[in-house]
Amino acid sequence: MSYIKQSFQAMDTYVNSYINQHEINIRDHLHDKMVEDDVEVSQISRNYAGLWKTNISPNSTTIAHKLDTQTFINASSTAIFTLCNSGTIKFTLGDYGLRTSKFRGYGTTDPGASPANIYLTTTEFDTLNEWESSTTFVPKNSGLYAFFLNMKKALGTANAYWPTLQFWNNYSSYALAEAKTKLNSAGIAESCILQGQALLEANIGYTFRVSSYTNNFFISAVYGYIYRVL
Amino acid sequence: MSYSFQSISSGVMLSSTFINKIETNIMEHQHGINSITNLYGGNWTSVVTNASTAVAHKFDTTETFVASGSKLLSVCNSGTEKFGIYHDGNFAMTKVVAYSTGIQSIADATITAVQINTKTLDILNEFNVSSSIFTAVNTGYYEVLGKITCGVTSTYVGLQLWTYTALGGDNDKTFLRVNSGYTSSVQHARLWKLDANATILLQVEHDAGTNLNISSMSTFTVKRVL
Repeated sequence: MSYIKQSFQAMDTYVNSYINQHEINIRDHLHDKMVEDDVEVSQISRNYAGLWKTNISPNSTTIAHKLDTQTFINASSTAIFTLCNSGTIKFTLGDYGLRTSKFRGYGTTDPGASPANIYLTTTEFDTLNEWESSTTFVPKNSGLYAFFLNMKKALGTANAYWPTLQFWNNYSSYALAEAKTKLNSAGIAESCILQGQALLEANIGYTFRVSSYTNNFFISAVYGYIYRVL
Repeated sequence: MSYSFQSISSGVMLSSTFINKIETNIMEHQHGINSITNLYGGNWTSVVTNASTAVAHKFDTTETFVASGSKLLSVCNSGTEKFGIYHDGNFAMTKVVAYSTGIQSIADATITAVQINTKTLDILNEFNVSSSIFTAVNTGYYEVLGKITCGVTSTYVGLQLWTYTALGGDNDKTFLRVNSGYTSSVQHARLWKLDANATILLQVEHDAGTNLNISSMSTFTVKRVL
């Protein structure tokens, strides 16, 4: 028994000694085997020092770093790639692009006497669900946003007016952007356009408005969109 | 996890415990794992310490990438690239800048394609200068802008972006009155969610009662909204 125990102890000592003395060689050997075998490292959650450096030689089709997945088809909830800050997601790539603000809606409701909020009652898409009560955009994140509004006068409405379109900060009650356009009296649709970019604050409401406007003529259609500029 | 090799050169047998110990040692010490294509669980946590210049995850290259078309990063969904960055830092996503080079005569009350026959930028080769049609390679969100400049007269000029898919462009065309000495340009913009292979064409119409010339430098731009 003692002989067997001593034998195991000797073997253990030898192996540990071998590992310590030839650590680099063992690592290299293991590394080579991992390369050869295309090792599956499933379910790994590794803490690491943050640097990946490739030594691949570039040509016109070379990719230095490639991240791939199994097929992800649920675009609304799956993420191909996320960046987090200690658990809080800051950047998510889904199947249709980055999961950031993208909204477009349209409507046909005449807003009534000036000044008035523009109604975009039909939402084509609203990736972060930020359009509220058909009139108000409430961003979930602060940042730079682009916006566009096109308001069409109804066919055949008489008189010339100069309505001003505004992108309005509801909290501070001021216009972030505005555009004034002359609408003429001829019997054909005309458009007022507002286009701009502005820094928006999270959790504050913003509306498209029309001012200097009377309802002697009628809006036949209006559409707008807002998206976050990255 | 287990590896197929069990012996080092001297014939010493290693238990799975020792192999795991070595593997952990390798991961902790970040030894180069060149050329490995790892299948893994997808979660990497950086232990970089917070500081004003800290970078949690960094991807670098040994050689300098300058070849046209080479990429620093490609993020794919089962082999299909969804996000890529070229060697010069540009995103590998739709960006089209195109314009017209000649005067085009537009018949009265006839919806007509604007002849955009020159392009200065087309990252994914999605714009055909012969047909003036943009065809999206990928499903995604796109901002499309068109602008024409008229030989001024007193008439109404409309501009629309038309797609041949179910998303008709005519519900939000821009229609402005073009007056001599006043407005001469008409522009239109739209944000779209396009499926792959959807096509877009810039179109113009007017009611001048006679042919209307639109100038060169009509412009058409498309960018993928990230």
